[in-house]
Amino acid sequence: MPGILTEDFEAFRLKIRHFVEKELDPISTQVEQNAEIPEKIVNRMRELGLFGLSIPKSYGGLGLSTLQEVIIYEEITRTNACHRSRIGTSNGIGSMGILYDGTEQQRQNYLPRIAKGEWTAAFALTEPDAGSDAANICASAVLKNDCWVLNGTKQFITNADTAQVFTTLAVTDEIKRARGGVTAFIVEQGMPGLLVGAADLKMGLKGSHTHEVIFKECQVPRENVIGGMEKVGQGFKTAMRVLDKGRLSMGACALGASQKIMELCIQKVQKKIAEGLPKSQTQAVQFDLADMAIEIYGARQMLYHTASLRDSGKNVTSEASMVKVFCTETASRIAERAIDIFGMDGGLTENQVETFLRDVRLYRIYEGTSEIQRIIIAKNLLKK
Amino acid sequence: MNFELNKEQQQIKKAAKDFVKGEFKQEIIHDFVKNKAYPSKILKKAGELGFLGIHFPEEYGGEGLSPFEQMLIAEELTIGHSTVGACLALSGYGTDILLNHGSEQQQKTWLPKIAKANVISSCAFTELSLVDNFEDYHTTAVKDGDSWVINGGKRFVVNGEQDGEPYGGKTGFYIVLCKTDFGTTTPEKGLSTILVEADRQGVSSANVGNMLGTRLLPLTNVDFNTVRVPLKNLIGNEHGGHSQVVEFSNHSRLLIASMAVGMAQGAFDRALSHVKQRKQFGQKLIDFQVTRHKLSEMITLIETARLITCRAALVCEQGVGNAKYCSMAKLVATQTAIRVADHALQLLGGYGYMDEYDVEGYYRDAKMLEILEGNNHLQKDIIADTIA
Repeated sequence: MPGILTEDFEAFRLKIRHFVEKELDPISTQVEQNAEIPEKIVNRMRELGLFGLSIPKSYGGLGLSTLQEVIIYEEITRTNACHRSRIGTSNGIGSMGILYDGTEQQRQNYLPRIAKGEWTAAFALTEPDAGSDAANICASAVLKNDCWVLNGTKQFITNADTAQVFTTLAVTDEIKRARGGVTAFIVEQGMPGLLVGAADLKMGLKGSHTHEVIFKECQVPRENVIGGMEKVGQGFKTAMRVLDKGRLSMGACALGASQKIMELCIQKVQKKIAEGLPKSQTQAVQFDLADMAIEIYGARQMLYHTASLRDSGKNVTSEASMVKVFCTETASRIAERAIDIFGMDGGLTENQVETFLRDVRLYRIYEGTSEIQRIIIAKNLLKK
Repeated sequence: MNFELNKEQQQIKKAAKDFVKGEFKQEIIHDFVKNKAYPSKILKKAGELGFLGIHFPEEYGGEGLSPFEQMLIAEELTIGHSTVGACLALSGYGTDILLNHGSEQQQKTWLPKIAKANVISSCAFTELSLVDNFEDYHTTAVKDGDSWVINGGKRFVVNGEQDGEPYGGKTGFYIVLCKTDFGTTTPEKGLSTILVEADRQGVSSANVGNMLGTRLLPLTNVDFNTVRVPLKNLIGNEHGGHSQVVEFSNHSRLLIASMAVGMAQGAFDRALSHVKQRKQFGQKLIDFQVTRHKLSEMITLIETARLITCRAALVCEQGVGNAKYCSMAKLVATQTAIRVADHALQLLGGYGYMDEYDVEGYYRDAKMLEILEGNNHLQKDIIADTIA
């Protein structure tokens, strides 16, 4: 544990570890099968302050540093991934835009409620024709009288079903587009013309739902531009800043899952040996475990180092991309190997590694695919 | 060396492709997947058109062809759809043991029913718990008058009877691996295979639970509680079960390898059609060099896997030393299927993660094929034994 972490933080980390082991993990198969987190558990998350990890204390959050936040993410992803996803958008992409670029009034209005978990925040950027190419969004916003009128369709929006507040992006100047023509808005559930579609059917993260979000002549008050009217046209920058930070969080999620998968494999191998399988017949599996440990060790050093750099004020755009690619690709490799170690038992949902394999696959796709990360890294390397 | 299919093989391949095109309608398949229903109707059609048991003798409903042609069909089926294709390709699971060792009566009774898809067949080989010592082998068959009395239980039984599933596949029989010699300490000398009709009293079967992949393929735990079957239900020689199962596993690995090649190809085809249409950053994905190279890697892997699978099929036809090639084919083909499906999923991005685009299912199903019939560690053990 890096020396800069306080005793208070260590106590909090242990509290979260205990919560995960005693309250989340025992219901993880149930959550998977019902595709839902019980509200009782969400209330526990609220009590523990998990919705406000990254929101400053002055706005009612815990105000954790980046390093502290990734360590907590690592803890909470040692079980079914949908639990982290439930708090993820409020800690990250859904709220950070308001924190970074919002007006003081917007911060005071939204952040304390988000931090307490009273309101869940979501981030609506992706559209059917704008995935990796986020600058290609079509949703539009036009100022009519005292209201912005939004039209467009967003897709794969995490927590859209539980969100009371959406950070979304729309084109306000068709000519300038990403260079000064995209604006970030705060849209609240209940505003006329905001529609949330049915939950998507997807490979994993069954207990965390993504939806289509449709703006149909959706009326948003004039003052709901993030940062106020002088920030009209600056939304793309806000979105990129939000995603930039999220990459370290994604790395942490993948690392937490990897660590847990390895521990499950260690238990399985120990059980096989106890049941009489000679150690000589587990040599290949021992090497698999060693490879997992090597990759996890490397991934953790990258993650902690980059988080610390960010906390010291350095720009870590490239490094954060490296962390996301390495940690998330490592998680897939480890999950695939884990299924081999378990054999047919690994294919059974009740044995957890099956769910991990499906869940970690998403980390390589959302909040910037591995390909987008490589583009960012290469661009910085070749920059003159 | 000849890498071309003969005329008959080309026709079989084309017929299978046409069948898939005609019968694997997306809305019907998505309905099966959504309801976790066994694809009985498509299977029945495949039986009527002669795609099942093509390597059975003609008098038993087959075409008298070789496993090679069976592989060609399996590949086309899983190109069409990974899960439905897997159900069809494995509908006669274990019947090869009857084909190679069964009595005339057993063959006459069951092979035509499998070929016509009146029933599906099942093997019950895997013991409930790890068997470290043959003395602890749990499933036993004891002679009592004119009957075998079977007691025990098996797990991960492919095509086991499913309880209460909508349109579940109808299991005809289980080939059960039982301990029959209690004086020996080695499975090579003490195991026999016995045919147990699924409707015998004392047989009960229950789903193993949610699985990673091939979710329409029945996979159950089967319990045998004082099940009585006639002595003539013994398959082949008494105490000859172990070698029958080893021989069958080779054949089965070859079949799985060809299904894996099909899954890799099916995932590739879907990714290719996506990148040809999808535009990002003002150009089609296929026009990015990185995409083109990824596709090149994928198709090269597929061609390599197909070649070694064909090689294994040809070696099997000659009936020599096939353990090595069957395991090599399974090793290469399943790894290929996983890698290619993983790349395909990535090429589809967020869409790749969604059920309706099928590719996520190819990834899960490919991973299932890798652990069916022994994981890769086991295949490497087998290959190593043949080269030492």
